[in-house]
Amino acid sequence: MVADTILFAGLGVSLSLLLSVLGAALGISISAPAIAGAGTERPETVSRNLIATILAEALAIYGLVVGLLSLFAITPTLSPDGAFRIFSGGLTMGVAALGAGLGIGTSGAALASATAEKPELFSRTVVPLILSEALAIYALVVSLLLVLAAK
Amino acid sequence: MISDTLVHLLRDNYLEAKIRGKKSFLLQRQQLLSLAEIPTLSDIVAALADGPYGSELSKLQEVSSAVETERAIQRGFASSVNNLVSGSKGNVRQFLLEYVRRFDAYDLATLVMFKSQGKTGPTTLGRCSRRAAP
Repeated sequence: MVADTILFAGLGVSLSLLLSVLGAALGISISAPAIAGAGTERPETVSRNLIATILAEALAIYGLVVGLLSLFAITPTLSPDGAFRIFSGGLTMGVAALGAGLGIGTSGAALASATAEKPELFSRTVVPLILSEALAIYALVVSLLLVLAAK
Repeated sequence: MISDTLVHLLRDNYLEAKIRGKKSFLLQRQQLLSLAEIPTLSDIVAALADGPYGSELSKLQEVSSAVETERAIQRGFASSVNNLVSGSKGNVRQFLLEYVRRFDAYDLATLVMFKSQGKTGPTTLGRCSRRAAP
């Protein structure tokens, strides 16, 4: 029974980190080529457009935070209820980071393309990027509440 | 459908951003009208020095003919398209390669024109558009 609960909680930790890293990788791999392409024509836009890759990288950090806190909560006395909370927290964080990564990647690429053509559009086209990141922050809050309540 | 979208997202973003950047440097109608009002060719060349045509125009001698200036602008454009070819993949690359072939016709026309003027081989080849073709 103890082994089952630890296995279940461990799966939550893995999902949190794995899916978050996948989301971050997706965000970076979609947005970075566009940022590089825009940079070859307008080098002055690169530093501003890098916000997309930074926000995508933050997704992996959210997953890492949830994963580490979950690991600290996994003890031999962990209840099945606590294991389920850790599993849910990990899954919530991971899937949300995956979706946010896709959003950040596509909106980041669009941001880079738009600013390559009209640099003055940056302040308006950066909004979808920030809203995509907010999706992951909602999941981070819920995941932390779930994980911190696991006993 | 989904795979096409994913391939587009992962592969064509670089080129799309690059093309949009190049598009932003195209001359606007008002700029063309202003250029048309400049009296001499050398002043027009000087006015274009800061733009995308600048690198090829700067290689012209101080006093250049209209034909040489036209060829320099052509070479600048060909070099720009070749630059896009080197950063493209798949169908887009095939399309651009087909597009680049039109410069062969320009080059042949240049060859005939300069030969008819009695220019030497290296001088003639130096004015061809596809010098830097991949």
